[in-house]
Amino acid sequence: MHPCLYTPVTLETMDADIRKEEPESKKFSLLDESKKLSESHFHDPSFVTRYGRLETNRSERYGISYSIIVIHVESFNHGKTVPGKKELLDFLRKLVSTVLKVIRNCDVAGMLEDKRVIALLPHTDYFGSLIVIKKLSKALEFLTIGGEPYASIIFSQATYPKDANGFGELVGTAARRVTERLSSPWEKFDLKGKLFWEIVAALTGASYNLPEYSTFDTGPELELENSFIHAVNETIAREIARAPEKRGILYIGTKRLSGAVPFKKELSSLGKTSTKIFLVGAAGGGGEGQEGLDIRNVTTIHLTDHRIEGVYFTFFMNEDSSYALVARESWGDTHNCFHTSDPYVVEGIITKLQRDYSLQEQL
Amino acid sequence: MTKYTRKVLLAVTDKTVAEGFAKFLNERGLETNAASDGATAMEIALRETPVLIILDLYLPVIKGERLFQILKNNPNTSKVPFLFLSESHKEVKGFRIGIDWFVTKPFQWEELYGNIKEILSRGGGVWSLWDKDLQGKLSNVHLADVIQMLYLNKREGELTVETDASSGTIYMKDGYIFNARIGEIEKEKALFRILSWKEGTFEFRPAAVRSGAKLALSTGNLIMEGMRQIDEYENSKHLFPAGDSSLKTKVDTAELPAGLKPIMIEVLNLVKYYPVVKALVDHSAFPDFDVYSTLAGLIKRQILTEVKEPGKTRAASEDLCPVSHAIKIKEKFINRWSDMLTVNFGKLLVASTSPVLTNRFVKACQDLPGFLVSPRIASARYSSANALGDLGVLRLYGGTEIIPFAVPAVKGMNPLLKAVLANTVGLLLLWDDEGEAEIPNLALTRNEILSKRRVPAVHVYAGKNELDKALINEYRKLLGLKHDDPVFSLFSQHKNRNNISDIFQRYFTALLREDYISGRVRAV
Repeated sequence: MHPCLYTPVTLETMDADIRKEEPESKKFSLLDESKKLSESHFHDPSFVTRYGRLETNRSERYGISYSIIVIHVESFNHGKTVPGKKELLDFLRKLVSTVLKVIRNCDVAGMLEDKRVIALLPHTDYFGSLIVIKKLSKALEFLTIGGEPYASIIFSQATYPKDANGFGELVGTAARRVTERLSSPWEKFDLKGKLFWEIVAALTGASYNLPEYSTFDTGPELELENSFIHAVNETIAREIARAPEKRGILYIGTKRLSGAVPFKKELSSLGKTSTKIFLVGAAGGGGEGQEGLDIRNVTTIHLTDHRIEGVYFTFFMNEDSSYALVARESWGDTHNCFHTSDPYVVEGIITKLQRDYSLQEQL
Repeated sequence: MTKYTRKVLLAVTDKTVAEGFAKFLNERGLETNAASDGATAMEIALRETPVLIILDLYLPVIKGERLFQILKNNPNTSKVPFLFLSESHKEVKGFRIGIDWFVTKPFQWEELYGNIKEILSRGGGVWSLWDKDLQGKLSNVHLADVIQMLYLNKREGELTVETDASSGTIYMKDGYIFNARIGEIEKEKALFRILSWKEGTFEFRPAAVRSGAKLALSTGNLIMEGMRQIDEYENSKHLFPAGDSSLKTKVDTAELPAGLKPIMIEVLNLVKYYPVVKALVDHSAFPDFDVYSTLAGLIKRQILTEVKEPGKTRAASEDLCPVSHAIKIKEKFINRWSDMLTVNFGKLLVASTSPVLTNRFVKACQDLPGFLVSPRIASARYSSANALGDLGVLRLYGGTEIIPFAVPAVKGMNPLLKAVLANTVGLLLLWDDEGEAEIPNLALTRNEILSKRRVPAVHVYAGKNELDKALINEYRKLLGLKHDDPVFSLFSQHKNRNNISDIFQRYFTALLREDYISGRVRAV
């Protein structure tokens, strides 16, 4: 893990410090500060709850879904000075105005509880809310407090009716996901601070054996054959074919692009699907040549980077499941593999791939 | 592909009312499908994509309102209008004003007919019947002539041909045939089959064909070749093996000379999994006539032989899972999964200590009525060492499919298990004497799956030895089972047969008996 440049100061420890130094600010919190905001479209927790219940009834009546996004302010990466009330109010003002700029006019934003802002997105499914999170995280990336340090913000989402039966349960799900995200390897091992290839090296270079996160090796004399990697891609293609209407995204890294990719049959037999499929590899592969790559529903991405020729990868996300497999070539026709079903790692690694290669950022 | 039909689905319990609607609609050139319960209606709706669904609110098996919600959420049927019939007015959740109707009995027939006419006349959407360029009956004009005409006019679009039994599509661009498809069958094989259909209807729908050309020959050559194959098949069919006969290899295929034609290699590989001629021909990628000719040649050279087993007939699928059970299973799936495309199947995860046992299990399953081996297993490039994915499909009454799905039982596979868990309805564990050391891994895999999905788990010893009480207890201990949890044996030595039917019967009973979605997890 990289050493942090700043000592993280959580709001809790910061509160304790303030208590020591400034007894009058005992009741200080973001929730209190939110009352001083003059934003007319930013609401208090009681309004958000009432609106949430109404939206639940509306969605149930018309058989549609809606989503909520919880923006959790985890800590301030602040080393020198403790932010005072003024700085916090300034931070909150910037945070809220940025959120209001990103969301639509029909969306509702408000304070959920201390350190948590909520955005309620009517008529938005799981993937729609992920896209809003992407926009929010980009807009809030360089949000500063007091000029220099920035805050560590965690986003989570939940969708009605997929994740809950009512608004309270939905908020509970989103809150649980904040905790899950904080304990996810993505945050814990500081993967979010690394580049795509640094992540690949880190994941395939160490040995993990966690419930949603583990490593294994393939090749001759090992527990699994190399063809297992292709079997995984075939299986995912069939999973997509079974529920083609489900939105999803799939990136398959196949070293060199050629018309002779092993899982081509599964990909080409896919009918109309809502999953975006990308085949990634170095240009100029052999086999059937580029003509064979004209696969319906599949977009090919040619990368001019020699590192791509040493790995197979599969990153798959849809509303039900997420899976990432990275297999790095080792010696003697063997591969060091890492795989995970942690949605935060999968989403994060897809974002890194898109950003590092200037691909269209999408989900 | 969205199917465009002229069919109206009548899910009406009162026969007189159903006949009244059928008569009216038939007189106006619309075909009707009748269903007397919700499960049948759902099956027909998914298969046929009707232009209108007329249904009773109180249907047996699946209620009308639930059926509406399921079909409304399915992309293929989401635009189909519903006409609800009921004794009294009732609020229907998700009712779409302007699309759906609610009519209380007794009906004002004239008004009702007027409304139906109006909704079927609307432009756009699935129910629009007037956007076809060309349509007709195969009894009036041969399909080859239709294709020739489209070729001469350099048309682009989809030529759909429907018979009572099947439906197929030919994709044309600039007059050239790019591809043809009947279900999963495509290219020449599908095209030649479609060309052989003499009864049915066709319609040409102009549309952009986005996929690349999958057929290399010109339109004229493809038609000539197709007609030649059809003629030769008719002339030589008395020389070919019958569709319902079984085939067996008489020689060790490993001893056959190298450099055999690809079609021969494929046929010899397929015989292992699809011994019945018709199933083999269906699963081969080569055109039917070529496959039949190859089979006849291999039989003549005594590499293959036809097996006549008049006494041995496959049991009906009802023996394995009675109709009432199959309907209840389907209901259970519907209650569990809200999106329509996934309520028709459930995965039975199969974990074993060795891929050999998985293959042994698949072979035993071939004795089950309604079981089909997965085409990927029959393909030459399938590596049995990596057991992952579909092994086949077991079709039950009402279209419900149970898909045995192999998962690896090695350490560190939990992320993958989680990724494929959608629609899991059961778990089957296989081991033998040689794999005894791997049983703890098998138990770990089982526990991992059961911690995420409450499904019945079946424990099956797939070795060749006879199981005695002491051995069963030993396996129970290794698997962490209770003293009364059953352990099955895949084979019965003294009866000289496999127990696959008994195993599945017990599994289905458990699936019904246990509220496996919210109930506690237990072995069967």
